[in-house]
Amino acid sequence: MNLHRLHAVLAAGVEQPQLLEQWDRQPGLLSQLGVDPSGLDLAALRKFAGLTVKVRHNPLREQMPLSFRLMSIASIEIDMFADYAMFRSKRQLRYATSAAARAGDLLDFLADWIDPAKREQLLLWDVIRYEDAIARLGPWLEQTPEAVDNSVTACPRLRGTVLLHELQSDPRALADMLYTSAPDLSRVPLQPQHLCFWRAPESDQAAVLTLDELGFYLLSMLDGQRSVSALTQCLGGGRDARNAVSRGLRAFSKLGIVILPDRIRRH
Amino acid sequence: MKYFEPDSAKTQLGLAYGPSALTYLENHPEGLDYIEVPFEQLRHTPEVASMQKLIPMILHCASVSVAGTVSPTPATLQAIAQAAEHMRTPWIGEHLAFVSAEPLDRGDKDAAPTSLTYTMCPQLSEAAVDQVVRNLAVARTYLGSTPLLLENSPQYFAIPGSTMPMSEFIAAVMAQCDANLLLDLSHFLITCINTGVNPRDEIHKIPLHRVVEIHMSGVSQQSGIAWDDHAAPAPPIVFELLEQVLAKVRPQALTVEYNWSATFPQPILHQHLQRVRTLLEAA
Repeated sequence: MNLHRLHAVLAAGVEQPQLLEQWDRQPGLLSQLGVDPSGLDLAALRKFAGLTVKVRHNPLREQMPLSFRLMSIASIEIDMFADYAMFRSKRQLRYATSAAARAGDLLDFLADWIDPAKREQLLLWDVIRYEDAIARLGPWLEQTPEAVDNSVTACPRLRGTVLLHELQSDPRALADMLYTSAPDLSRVPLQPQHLCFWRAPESDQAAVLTLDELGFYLLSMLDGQRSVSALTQCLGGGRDARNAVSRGLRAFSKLGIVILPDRIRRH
Repeated sequence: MKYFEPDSAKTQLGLAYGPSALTYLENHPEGLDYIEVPFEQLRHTPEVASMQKLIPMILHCASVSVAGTVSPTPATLQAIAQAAEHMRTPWIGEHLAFVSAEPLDRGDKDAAPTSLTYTMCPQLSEAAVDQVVRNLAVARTYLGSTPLLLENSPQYFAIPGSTMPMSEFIAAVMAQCDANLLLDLSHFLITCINTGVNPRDEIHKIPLHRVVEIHMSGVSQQSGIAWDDHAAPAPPIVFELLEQVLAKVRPQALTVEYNWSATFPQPILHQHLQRVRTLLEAA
């Protein structure tokens, strides 16, 4: 088998994994290229393409050590990155140059790839969003931190930058497990978590707060446009909702995440 | 500047360049003899060269495509030669592999060669051996007197058209060229696992007397295949193979490659370096 043609086929298959699917469907195409289809392990070549894409993502490890450790322990790195290589190849997408953009692209892919019925994948989806949020509010923050603006407006608004994630597990509990000598992922409890990642204007890193459901939805609705009444309506209306909203907003204000209208602050 | 001085009586111990190596060097300035730096890293971030004020450096490379059918550009070979000269590297380590290949479409004269971002195991055949010999002759005209060491590639699957196992391929290349061997024990183990041979027996088929440098890194087994993994520590069998090799040969350098992860645990790195140093001293 001609060395030149063989290397051309191997290299093309690794760089454009969509070709591997075509060759699998139509082995005659490989014959036309001078390679005996029966001798080429297309599935292994596909996995090798996954290895090369995994290595391309090494720069993400610094901010996502738990995600990569989980993938390694669960032995899903190669298959996941092989699927990702195929995904990008079919859409002719280049890999982003910055770590933040590369992570964003990977998370977009994972949103569809993750099978929540598989525990290790569910945990991965939680931990990678957790680490991504902390990185985005820390070293990957693109915008110049805004000047501290404590001015009071008519509607409650966020102070600093907030990202909210609803998770099915607590990545902090997973972290403890991942660094034991024999990690047992089945022992990481699955329990809904409502996490708020907050970077205050005067800070250079994110704080992580665990919220209850009400607090989570309240923060998610704060856009500086909705009044306290509008927020109350969104949460069902009535005196109980109004009291709960007021209490929640005051608690957030005390932490420094929310700037309240004067009227509420005086109460 | 500090330069690597080969010492035939002593194997010097180094780390592959990466964030964890830099942290280690900061915490243990006397704990390493050198840092091995990829040419591609120097090309991308030339300021890395200033590290040679602190510690000697050895040049490693993945751009010559020694076993490939497409030569690197003269500009690339000249840049490698220049980096080697500046560094006064004792040798250039290069993969016995390929990183570029002819375009798939033979009819398209304007098509560019396919460039890979990761070195790939070549066909293990006489034709590939001949190609290596030809490529080395071309590389030699640019690299002058700096020796090239050839690093064994990890083999992940059967390469069509191959007519010999990896150990025989390495021996055939060594027999036909003047380059010596950079024996990557983890690549060797990966090849043995993936091709179903016993590494403890196979190691004796490698021309160990030509080994000048050794590499060690992690190995992970996923999806039915053993893979190179510089984010994981070397498994015990790699240390066992190292002992076997050291019983036969005294290499000039040993590089631990735990360089894929900035968060590689420093205590494990330290422990493994100590373990290697103990084996080197005992040999």
